[in-house]
Amino acid sequence: MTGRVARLVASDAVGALIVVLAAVAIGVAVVALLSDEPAAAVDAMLTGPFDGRYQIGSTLARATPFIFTGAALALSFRVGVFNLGAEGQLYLGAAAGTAVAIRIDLAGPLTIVLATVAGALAGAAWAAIPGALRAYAGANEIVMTLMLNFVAILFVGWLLSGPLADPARVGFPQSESIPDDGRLPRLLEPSNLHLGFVIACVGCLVLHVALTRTSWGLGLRLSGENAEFATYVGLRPERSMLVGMLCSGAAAGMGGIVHILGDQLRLLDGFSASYGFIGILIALLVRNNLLLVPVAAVFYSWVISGAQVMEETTDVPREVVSVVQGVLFLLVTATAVTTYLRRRSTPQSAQTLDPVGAA
Amino acid sequence: MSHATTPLAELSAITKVYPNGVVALRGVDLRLRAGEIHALLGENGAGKSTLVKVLFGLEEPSDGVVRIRGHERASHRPADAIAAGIGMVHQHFQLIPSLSVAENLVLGDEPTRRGMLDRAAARRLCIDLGERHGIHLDPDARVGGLAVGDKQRLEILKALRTGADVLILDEPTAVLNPHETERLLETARSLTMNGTGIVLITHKLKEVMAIADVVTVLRGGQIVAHVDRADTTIDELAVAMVGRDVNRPTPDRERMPGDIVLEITGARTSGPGRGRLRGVDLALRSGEILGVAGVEGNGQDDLIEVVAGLRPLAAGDVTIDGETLRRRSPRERRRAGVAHIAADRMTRGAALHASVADNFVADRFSRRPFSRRGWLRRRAIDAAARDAVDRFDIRTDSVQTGVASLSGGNIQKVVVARELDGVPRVVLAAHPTRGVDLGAMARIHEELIAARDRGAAVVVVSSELDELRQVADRIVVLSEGAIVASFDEPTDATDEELGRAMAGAAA
Repeated sequence: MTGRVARLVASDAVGALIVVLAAVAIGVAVVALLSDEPAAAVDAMLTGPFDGRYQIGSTLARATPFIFTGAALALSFRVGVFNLGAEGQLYLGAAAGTAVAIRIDLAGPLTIVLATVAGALAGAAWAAIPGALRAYAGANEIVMTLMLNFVAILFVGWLLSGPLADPARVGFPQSESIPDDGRLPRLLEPSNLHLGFVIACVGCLVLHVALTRTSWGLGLRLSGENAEFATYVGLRPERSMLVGMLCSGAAAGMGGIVHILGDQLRLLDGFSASYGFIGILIALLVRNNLLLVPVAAVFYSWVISGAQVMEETTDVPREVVSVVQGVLFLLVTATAVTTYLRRRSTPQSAQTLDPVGAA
Repeated sequence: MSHATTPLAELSAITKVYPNGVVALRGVDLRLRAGEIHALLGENGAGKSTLVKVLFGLEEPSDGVVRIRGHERASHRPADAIAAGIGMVHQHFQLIPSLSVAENLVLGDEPTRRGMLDRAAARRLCIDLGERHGIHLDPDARVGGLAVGDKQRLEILKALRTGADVLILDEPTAVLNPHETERLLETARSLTMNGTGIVLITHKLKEVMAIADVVTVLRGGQIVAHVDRADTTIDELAVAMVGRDVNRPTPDRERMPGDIVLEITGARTSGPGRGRLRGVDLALRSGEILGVAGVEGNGQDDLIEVVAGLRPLAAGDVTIDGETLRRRSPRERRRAGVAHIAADRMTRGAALHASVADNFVADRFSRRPFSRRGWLRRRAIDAAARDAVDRFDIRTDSVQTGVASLSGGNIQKVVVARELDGVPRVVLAAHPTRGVDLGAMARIHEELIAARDRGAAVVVVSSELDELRQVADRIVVLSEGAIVASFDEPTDATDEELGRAMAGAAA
């Protein structure tokens, strides 16, 4: 059985690896063409993010929110709903958690736990709206989740200029800072790597086990696979959709508050660097395999960090990284689309054993 | 070289090994002459489809030679095959439902006038080509509204339009009713008059005996028989396919049905067309198999679905052991002992991208012994699935393999294995043997009869009258959503009688 898991991970990993290598190769080519000192620039981009304790810590810290949103998206895709609202859920999770951490005075770790739970609940609650409408009214969850992002982000903006605003009023919308008790411990000083990275990785593992080893998870997966089939065998795909959306929202919301408690230490307006949307990329890259989500997130963070190091140390502007990002998006979308098409066409061509062996 | 001796198409010593090591074909020869119908027989997974895919250029052989009209083909991809006059009609149609017949026909190579589609030319082409080959279709009809048989004839017409004189028909009759089958076979016959050679893949030996000139039987990727139709018999072919005698189960006519289990009273459904039920009354006893005959789309689907809980009743009632099912969900009905072999295994009967094992336990994985305290017990699940794989001879690498990579017949066996496991009270079997080979068909019939003998009330819907006569204890005929005839002695019901009843209200 471990062999089976290994094979599954391997087949998803190989696909992702090809895409990743192609994107990086193109990025390297662009850098080499632009720079007067190509060797140094490429070196800075590729090895910079892992050059020493500080850089490694920063790269992993940067990956943390991507792990949460990547897991949120992978989970929703596995259950057959498209939660494109992770960005909004992340903001609301961050806001709810921040409110708890600032307003409720508890001793030490309890603050962290309570704030994290509040963040997850807020994310889930926000996801419940499109989830329930999708499941029981057949509304289109893609449009709903996308639109609700704006509502959530603007609502958090209002909170920061009103109820949650920093009493010190420094001029731009932010909350007061998280009390020391409520901060997640740092792991690799002086970098900003924090316990949230570990929480995120463990979370992915837990979700993976829940999906693959429990009857709850099998029900969700079968419903996501084919809702008509699920109804036919006596499962309740509508309920699964809602549950999937709730769990996905909770993961995104938790990602938001963990980022505040571990990295930013206060809630800022517009703090997310499109974490919710990059989550889509991460999930597609690893074909919704939760065990690989952290790997993909670290890879993505490596690309961004590399660009930053390169800008700091050589003559290449960091904008080059958007080339790599663009290529990555194109390749991932292209492979996701072909996989989707192949999946749809397998019934016609599956007369013999599948030569690709992709189950 | 004279026309008479050079085969239209010739495959010599074809071997096909997939990258994962599966050997699909071992040194297989196939020769197709002009004006010949060459039947290709074999069980699911015997290599028939792979062989014709090689001929059509969809699969590259690992070894062996493809010759078209005596010329060896160096590169042989579908485009080359089409250019060389080979046409293939796939099991699953490749038509666009929202376009008209004529538009579908010209799709891919449209006649144009000033850069726009020339509809008049397309219509003319449709009519001319139809005239020439005896395939008459309304060029303006929307394909989505065509009967299955007409869609198939349109596919054949499409192949002929590219100038094909080698036509591959991959299980063309699997989806047709008896009348449509007859028309298709007529069409095939008339095409051979013009020198077209036809490779016909089928499971149905009766069809082979009716129209084939030569028969090649594959088993396990090798040729086990190659005979002229005139020199063989159905039984010989069956033995060659399966490799052993297929013992046909004979229902025990002496058995005593028990109490009424399933009762349907005044069932009506709403919806468009002939497919809705217009007041059906049925009572089915424990230990009884009811065969439901009818032209497809005359209420069979609705009849099954109102019992399974997948379609609401507009009026009437369905009861099991006297208890109404009206407000019960599909889940509760399954708990009450309703098993349902869905007509469409691709969209409803199976989760294609889940494993064989997960499909097998899909309706009961949350109960013991398959899970405990919420945790799946993989060992128990896999063991049960392996059992089913053995019992039904499901051809798969392992129970972890995704169902999508199984052949259609083997997917059907997975569905049947799941539904007939245990002791169901009511079995709803919609086309339980559609697209499966002889051995599997016998197996499925045995299992249906075994379920009956364990006390189930069994409903079998089929377009194969032979199948109904073979397994059913009683046959009713549905037409336009009502029962129009009932035969208490199925073996006495002739094709003519049944056909008349089926056509009665439908014509």
